[in-house]
Amino acid sequence: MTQSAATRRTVLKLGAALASSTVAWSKGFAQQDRKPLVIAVDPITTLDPAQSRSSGGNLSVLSQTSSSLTTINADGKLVGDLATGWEVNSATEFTFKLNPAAKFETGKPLDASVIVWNFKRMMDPAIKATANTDFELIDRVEAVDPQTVKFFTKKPWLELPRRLSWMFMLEPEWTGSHNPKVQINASGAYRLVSYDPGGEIVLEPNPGFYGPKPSIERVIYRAIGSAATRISGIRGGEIDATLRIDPIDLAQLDGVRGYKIGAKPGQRYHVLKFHFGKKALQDIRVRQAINYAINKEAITKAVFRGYVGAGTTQVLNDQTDGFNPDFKAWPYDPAKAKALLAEAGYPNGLNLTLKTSTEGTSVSVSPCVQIIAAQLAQVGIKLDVTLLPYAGFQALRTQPEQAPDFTYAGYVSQSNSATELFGQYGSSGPYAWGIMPPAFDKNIGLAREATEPEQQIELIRAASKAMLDDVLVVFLWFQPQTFAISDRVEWTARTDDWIKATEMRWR
Amino acid sequence: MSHDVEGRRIGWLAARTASLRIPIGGEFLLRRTFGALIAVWGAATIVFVMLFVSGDPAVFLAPETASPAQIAELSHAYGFDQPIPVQYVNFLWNVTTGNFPKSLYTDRPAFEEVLRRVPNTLAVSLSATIIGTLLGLAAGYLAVNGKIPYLRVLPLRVMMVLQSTPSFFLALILILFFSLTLRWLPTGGTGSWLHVVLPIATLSAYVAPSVARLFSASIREVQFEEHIQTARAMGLSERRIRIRHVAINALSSVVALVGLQVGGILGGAVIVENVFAWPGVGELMVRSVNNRDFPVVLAAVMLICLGYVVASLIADIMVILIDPRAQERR
Repeated sequence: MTQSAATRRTVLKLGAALASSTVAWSKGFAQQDRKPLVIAVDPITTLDPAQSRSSGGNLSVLSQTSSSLTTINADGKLVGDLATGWEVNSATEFTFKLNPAAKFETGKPLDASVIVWNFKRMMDPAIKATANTDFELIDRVEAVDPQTVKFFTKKPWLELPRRLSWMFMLEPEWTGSHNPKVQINASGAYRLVSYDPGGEIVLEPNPGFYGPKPSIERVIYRAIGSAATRISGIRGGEIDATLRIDPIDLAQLDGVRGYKIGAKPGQRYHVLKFHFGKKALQDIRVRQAINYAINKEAITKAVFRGYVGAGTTQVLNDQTDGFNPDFKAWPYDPAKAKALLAEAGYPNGLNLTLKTSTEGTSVSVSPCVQIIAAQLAQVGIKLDVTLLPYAGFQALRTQPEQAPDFTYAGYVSQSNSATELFGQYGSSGPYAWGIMPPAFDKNIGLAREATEPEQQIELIRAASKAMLDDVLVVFLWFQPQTFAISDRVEWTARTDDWIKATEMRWR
Repeated sequence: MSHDVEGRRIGWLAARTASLRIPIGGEFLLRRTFGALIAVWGAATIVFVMLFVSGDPAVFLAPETASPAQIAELSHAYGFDQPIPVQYVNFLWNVTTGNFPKSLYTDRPAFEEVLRRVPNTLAVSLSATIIGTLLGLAAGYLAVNGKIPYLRVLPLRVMMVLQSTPSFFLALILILFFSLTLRWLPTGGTGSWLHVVLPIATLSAYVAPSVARLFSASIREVQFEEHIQTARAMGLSERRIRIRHVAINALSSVVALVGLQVGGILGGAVIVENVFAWPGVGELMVRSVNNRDFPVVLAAVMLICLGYVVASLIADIMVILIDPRAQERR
């Protein structure tokens, strides 16, 4: 080997080393220099799990920082989070095995005794919990050993593991000395860096997390309630991911550079709920006529840009246990609507009132109700529409004297549970007035207390059938799940409202 | 150079303060404090009644899917099911005993919740007041003393346009141009000095026009007064007369105006903070109204009311400092 060849080889080696270190440095620099991931969510008022009910807001944040026994994954399947597995010993007894590596940010173990304490706290009247719907069915929770916890229910409740998917755990000692409404002792994938109520929540990876390390280093959940502000944020390139943009607004985002904008059928089903205390609406023929009089296909095409079509006469989505694929959409037949109204004693039509809000979690409410009113007018029903602010519409729930003939809203279950969703349509749900035909309520009760999964599915299907047979609502459509994702993020939007940074990665 | 009552030559500032009697007498303070208390109590009472008449706060604490029975249970737990007069008396008792209610959502004292936001609101409002006032003074001065004809016309025309533009509309126009089209500035939020540019610009545009119009009118009025003619006759330079004798004398009315505008600036801040998602008192107040977090709303209203009263008082004192004759008129 000549000296010049050796020198050349040395120079080449040095060059290669320099090049590779430059590439490595630049990659590291790019990673460090990357701006945080910004996710726009609904306004967040509290971080206390006992009072968190918004899957598009505080529950999404808690799912990143705190552990729950189970969770609903991106495919809509129920899987373990803190629980490595569970057994349904009987319809009233459930055993959960816990991940032994689970601990809080402060180093305290997240074991069975913590689960027991959290359940007791949730049921303590002094806490004024709002996230414990149906938890009165739980009789007691016992720690068998540090990694095993048993739930006993007063009545059969097969959906318990699903319902526990949004019960997030606090550390008992820490809770006594801190304010869990504004602070978090993390046990999940991320830890809280800062929280400005109503503003931003900044997260960074929790080094003690028992699960896989999240791929994104810094995340900001930015609370943006106003649709216009979200649109501005996207157009200004300041938001990386968001859900629930009004489909009407999607058109103005079509040309925005650096984003993937789209929609798919979501889980929130829109209906018109009847006031069963009103004489005209107690007649099933009137309820049927109204269903016939609304051209849902035309409305979804015009308002939702065809992202969804007319809904079937079943409010469950195809990821829900008990979904029945045999249900079809209610046909549009104004002539039949007129005939039914005449048969019911209203040949000249009738006057009805509708109240709704344009500020809630349902999108495109205003154009939808206006078109519905116009279509009902064609069969002789004069609909007086009142659009209320969100606060006013919510207040209606406790003001039966202000109740209209209809309310328009969309309903969804946080855990995609049929019985939880049906509870919102039953006689004890919101905006339920008057005496409802009993079959639906009866089937929900039976389904909730079913002892076998197959039996429960049959009862859920029976409840869906009762809902249709008694025409409890005007069946409209699934709300399209609209989303905007910046090009630097890889993410598939879910069909529910949960929006999790752990399901995202940089491109 | 000015002279004191005994004919000695003294500086301008000394001349201004020589005969000053700052009105911090007992009666003055008592009157203003009593007025402030009445104003704060009145505002809190009106807001209290409006919040409770518009619906049970438990409705907003309960989840969207809660049944009327669950809402009633929650309402009872918080004591919202008691008659409004009883709740009002309880509220007044708690306030007077220093036990102001906590936020329904964060469990922190409501005043603490509001005070956390005060620096943000002050940063925007004070900056906008200073910048807007300086811009207004410059425009008003130019409108009278501009050497080129269009310099005398243009500033006031621009100010007129700004005065006719509502804050929320101007904010949206600024976002459209600087954030969405040019992408120079963020549309809202916090994080860097860039986030504060548009909110301050919007509020400054609220302050500047009235200052400009009043300042130019005052200059026009003052410049023909006898002491100005005397100064000219004494051979003082025109620049010195314009600045030291005309502009300074015209300032007293501007100071009074800025003091009176505090209410408007705070009102404007509520709008601007919400449009730009700026975490100030105004943004907190609107969000708390939407959530019926009534302790926070009441704390914010009381604090803003108090701020307005204090700002008016400071303006009064400033006016007297600039023009001692004003004290005689009050």
